Amino acid sequence: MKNVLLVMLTVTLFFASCKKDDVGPSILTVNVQLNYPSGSSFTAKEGVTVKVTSSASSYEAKTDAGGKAVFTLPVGVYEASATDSRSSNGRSYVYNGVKSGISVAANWVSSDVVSLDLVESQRSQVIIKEVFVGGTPNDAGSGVFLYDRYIVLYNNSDAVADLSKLCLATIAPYNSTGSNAYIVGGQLSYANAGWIPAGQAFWYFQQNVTLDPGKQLVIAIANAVNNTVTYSKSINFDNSSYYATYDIATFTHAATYVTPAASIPATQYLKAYRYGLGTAWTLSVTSPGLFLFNVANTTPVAFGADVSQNDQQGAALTSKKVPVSWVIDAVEAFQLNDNDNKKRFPATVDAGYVYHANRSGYSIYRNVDKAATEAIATNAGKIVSGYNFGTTSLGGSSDPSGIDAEASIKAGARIIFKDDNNATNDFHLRSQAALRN
Amino acid sequence: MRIALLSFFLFCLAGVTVGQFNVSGKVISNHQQPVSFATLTITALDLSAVANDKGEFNLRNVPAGKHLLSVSSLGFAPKNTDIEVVQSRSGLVVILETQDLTLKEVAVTAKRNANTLSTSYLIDRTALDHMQILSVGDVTSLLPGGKTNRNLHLAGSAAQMLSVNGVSGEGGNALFGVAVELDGVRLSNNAIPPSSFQASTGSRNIGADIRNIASTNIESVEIVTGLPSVEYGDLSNGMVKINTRKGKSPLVFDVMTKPNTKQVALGKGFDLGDKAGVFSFNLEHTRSISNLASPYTTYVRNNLGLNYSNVFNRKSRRPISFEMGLNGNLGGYNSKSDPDLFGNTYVKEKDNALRGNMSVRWQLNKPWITSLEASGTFNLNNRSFEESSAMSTPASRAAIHTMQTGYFVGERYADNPNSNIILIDPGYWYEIRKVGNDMQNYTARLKANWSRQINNVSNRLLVGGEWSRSYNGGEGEYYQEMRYAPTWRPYPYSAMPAIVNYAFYAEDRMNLRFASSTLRFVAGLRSDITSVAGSAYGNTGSLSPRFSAEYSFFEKAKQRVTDLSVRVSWGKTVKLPSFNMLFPVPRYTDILSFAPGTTSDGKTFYAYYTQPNVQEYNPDLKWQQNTLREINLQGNIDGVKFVITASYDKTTNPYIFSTNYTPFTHKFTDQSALDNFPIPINNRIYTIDQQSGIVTAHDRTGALPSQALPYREITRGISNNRPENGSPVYRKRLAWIIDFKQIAAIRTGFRVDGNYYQYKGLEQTVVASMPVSNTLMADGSPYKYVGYYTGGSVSANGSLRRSVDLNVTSTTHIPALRLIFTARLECSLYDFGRNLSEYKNGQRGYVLDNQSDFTPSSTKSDIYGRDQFIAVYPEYYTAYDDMQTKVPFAEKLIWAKDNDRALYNELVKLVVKNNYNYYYNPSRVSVYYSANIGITKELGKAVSITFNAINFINNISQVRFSQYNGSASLFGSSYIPAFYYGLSFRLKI
Repeated sequence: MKNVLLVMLTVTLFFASCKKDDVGPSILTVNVQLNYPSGSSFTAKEGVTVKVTSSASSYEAKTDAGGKAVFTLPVGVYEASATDSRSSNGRSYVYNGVKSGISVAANWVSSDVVSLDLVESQRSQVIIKEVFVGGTPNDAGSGVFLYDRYIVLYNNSDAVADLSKLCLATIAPYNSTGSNAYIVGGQLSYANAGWIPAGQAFWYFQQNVTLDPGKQLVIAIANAVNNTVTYSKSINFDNSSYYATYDIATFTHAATYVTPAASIPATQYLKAYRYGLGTAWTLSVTSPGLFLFNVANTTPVAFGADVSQNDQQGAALTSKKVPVSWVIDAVEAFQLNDNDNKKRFPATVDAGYVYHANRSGYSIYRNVDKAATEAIATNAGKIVSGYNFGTTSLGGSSDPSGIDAEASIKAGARIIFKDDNNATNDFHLRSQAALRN
Repeated sequence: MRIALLSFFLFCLAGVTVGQFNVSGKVISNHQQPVSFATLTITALDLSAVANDKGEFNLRNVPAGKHLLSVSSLGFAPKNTDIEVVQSRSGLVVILETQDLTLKEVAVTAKRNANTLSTSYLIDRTALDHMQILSVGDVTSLLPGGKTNRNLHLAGSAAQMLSVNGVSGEGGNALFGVAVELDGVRLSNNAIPPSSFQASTGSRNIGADIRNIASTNIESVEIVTGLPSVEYGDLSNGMVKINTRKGKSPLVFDVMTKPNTKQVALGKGFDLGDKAGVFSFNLEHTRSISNLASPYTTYVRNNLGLNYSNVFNRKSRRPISFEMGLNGNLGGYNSKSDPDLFGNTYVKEKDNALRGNMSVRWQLNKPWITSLEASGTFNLNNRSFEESSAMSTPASRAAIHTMQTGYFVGERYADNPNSNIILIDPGYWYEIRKVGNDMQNYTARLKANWSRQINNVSNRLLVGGEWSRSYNGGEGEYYQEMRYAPTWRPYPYSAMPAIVNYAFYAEDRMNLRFASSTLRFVAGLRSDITSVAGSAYGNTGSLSPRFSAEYSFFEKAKQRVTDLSVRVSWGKTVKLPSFNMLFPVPRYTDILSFAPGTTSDGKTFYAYYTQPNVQEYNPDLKWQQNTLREINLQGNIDGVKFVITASYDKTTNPYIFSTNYTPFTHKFTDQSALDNFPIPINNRIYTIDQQSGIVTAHDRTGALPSQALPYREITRGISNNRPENGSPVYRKRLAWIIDFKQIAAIRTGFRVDGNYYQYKGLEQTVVASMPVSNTLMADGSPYKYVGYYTGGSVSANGSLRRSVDLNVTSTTHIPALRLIFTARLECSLYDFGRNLSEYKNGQRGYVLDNQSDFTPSSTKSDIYGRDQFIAVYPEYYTAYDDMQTKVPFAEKLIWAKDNDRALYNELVKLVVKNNYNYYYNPSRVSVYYSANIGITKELGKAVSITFNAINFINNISQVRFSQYNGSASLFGSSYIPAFYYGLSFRLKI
């Protein structure tokens, strides 16, 4: 009898334990309300895309006239984000918002509203068009050549840009993975401080430089020579129009800084102001966080020399506190296939991120603003579609516009690039650096 | 004490010889077989004899009285027995028991060496077999509170060194000061080359690598943590004496397997006949791999040891004992065959050694001399290093080989293979770097003993001298192909003069036996005269007095407390400097002087100004020495044996280096001088004036005139090194061993041993320092201020460490089963450390409110408060434009903050801060432990098997760190060894 009871109990428990699974996941209604900053001349409008992502899925919904987007989501933890672009009096503004750690549990009440605060930033005149830092496999098969890094600046506006006070910096810490002393309680400690940390050193132009609308400026970050002499998949920087970060008194690392190609005039060397340690400028090869800033009411040298603007964190990581209002453009990269990425730029600077993979010749490339580009009458017949340098199949990303910017520029088109101050929307991982022949 | 001294002087004055007798007999085994060639010694009288092939012996000139006779022979348990001599006696039978697990007492732990008046521990073959020793470094775990060696294999790229008194990372060069001897052959570290050619040997003062010593050929190891006899010099942090297997023995075949290591060995001792002596050999092959998943990087040891001994004139009154040994090793480290490494890249380092020792001891037994011993040793160690690296460059790479002062421009190897600066062409190549490292040490010793006994007073006077020579015959660093040699200059070690040391010593040992007690003391003086011919140091002398006295209260008395004795010791030991100190590799300052743009095919033409930096001679350099004070108490209470030793070390004048800076102005020409230059780039030839540094561009076609290029003048500092003596470091130790009586019912005995250790070092030497060389002034010129820091430009100028380690060992020995089982718990009960920043009379540093600050907090002043950032200032600074004016730093910095921001922005670059706010927090590691088990089982007389499991519980618990309130798993940590095991098999035929 006892055995029978035991069997019955076991069978009962078996079925009881299966019962819950039969129900399936809960589907819940989640409202996301966009909140525009107070004092802004813009308010909520209909049709703004709001994105909600979890580790497994991504959902999109449009706002109603009140700025509310409605989702039906299964139980999970989500991140909500939105970008809204507006123009007024010739200036372009972007409203970005991101909120992480939204826990939608079974007891979620459909009347609950997730508030997504938007922050305002202006579109840039000069933007970062491309960043190449990951290196290229060498011809001997013995490793990766890492000293062919470059950045391409682009004048995305209709006016000539003055670069005389423009500085190039990398955010601290250098990698998006690993420890970050600036993250306290899950938040960036400087998120509302009005500055961001420029690690170790920054570069600046020696002389007045201007950039015409629709033109680009290539800065070789290391070994500004014809690297293809030895590394056939690398970059040839032997070009008189290129610039180079070369300041051999400040950064002495011989493997990073061979003397630039003789074709590059010495006046096109950028100078460095170093306040942290190192013999080479530290730029992450896996997850760079690059930004451009314009010094205001001072000079780059005076700003660099002023130790009261230094911020030191952890082991000899000295940064310069760059006011957010000085920042022109930024791009935040996360390391692909790594769960430890942490945001370093606040949403006012860059509200998103682009995944990056190193060691394979990939670059971070700006997406084309399809509508703005196609709206330019002179572009008719010059826009090349069928872009095939995307890396979506490799786990990366592609340009949603489908426009091949480089081919279009060669065809004479004037490209307008996306500039939502949100790297998720603005950039993709390109399977081949654009400067590679 | 006064009684002892009075007795000594009376004894010396008396010089009377009382009756002397012959003691003869036979040494037999417990199986009634004669033990041939057994050694019999009365240490106190310097009397010894060697039995013949029938086990018969004759000890001559034994004075009347009670003496301790020590008898030993390979394969038998050593025996100490008292003999009472009142007249000549014959027929004395000494029975030695075969050393196996049928013995009643078997020690598999360290034993206190009772024959010396020093703190020393003996570990014999039984213990070595039971712990499956792979390296001599394993045995230090048997010291009180010792921990199992965490080097579980030999195949690391780093040398494995012994630490006895002090550990790596402390001040005072603790590993450098350990003396290691193999059968009297000093494994001297003085000829270790002055080059950090391998990252693992980057430290300037390091110990001898012990991996080339065959572990199967070791009969016993003695570790001296106290004061050794004045016979031994050139040490400051303890001594390790290794004795190899000698004498007649059966054929012994050893096989050992551990996950990373396989070992096989064969040894035998041959009786060549009564007159021909004894010959023995031991052959060992050991192969260790570094990574089980990739078993290619190896360390291999192929070792052959040969020993021969004989006694000539055995039947005369003055026999001559002769011993010689030869030990060779072929092997080393090699990563060449590792397929995980790209192509033909590898690192390999030979570890070939040839060591020889020979001694002749003449038992003279004259009224004025008892014995005379002459010995000589040599130690040749070839540690040639080779490394192949895959290289590539997209543009010309400058390889500077300039050895003279001046400006030189680079040339391609194809154009001038002898150029001072070779410009390596763009492309791919293998850089094969070699270091010829051939260390040679020779010693010759002569010593005489004079022993006497009057009634219950015995005295032994030892007088001797030693000559030693350390030299390195290696080629030093060089490259297989000059075409691809990077910046480097030849510096053959063979060009360095030898360090020759003459030592003279005298030591008197006296035993005063009373009715139930004994007073023993030893007093000695050693004088070392070091001659470095061809160097500025010339001849340098040092003195090492040493003294020990021991009073035994109850010797084998029949009461609860027996064998109680107390000993005090005081003395000095001196460590000679190494080549690293005296002849460091000359440094060269190379300053880029010309950097034209690179051509389209990757060619460029750098020029550099070079200045050789010769290490300054320090006429006041003193040899590092250690003063040891020690008190030891040992006894036996109700069968519980205990040894407690308290010691206090002070290492004075440790070797350190300081730096001096001299301003220097040079010229610099860059691409800006060549923009829009009329001569086409591919037609240019550049020359530079060696003296002026002015660059001239020439047209190789001759079409355009040569043109001198404009330049800038830059002032920067050039540094020179200088050897110095640092501030003293202090160590206190309290070590104890308690052996509880065996519990008969379970045939198990327990040992509790432990160690309290304290280290404190504070460097007070004022040292000049500058920020890293690429630090610039705000105007872009090189940084011009030099700071002078007490204890160097480091956040902490010292540290404090305290620890308590405790081990509990149970030994279950069942003779009937020929089995011994040990379980050992190794505990770290207390592990405390703290970084210190102090002057002699106060704290050195200022508390900051924020890590980004540079000036002191107005509210906080205690630098040891929790979680703070501390700023260390130089005492004063000078500037290149005025190196004589010493400006007090702190005052100037604080003034400049409000009055001269430009100066303030520059001076803060001399401020040194801790990187983490917990740097000065007390660092306490919570209690952790590890446990080992070992079992040895004999299968009859011929076979024995040992199994060991290290950290057999695979402890993965957490340890907590108070310094930053963190914790970590013990798994894979540096605190305890990884779970590991080994099996060995021994066959005796």
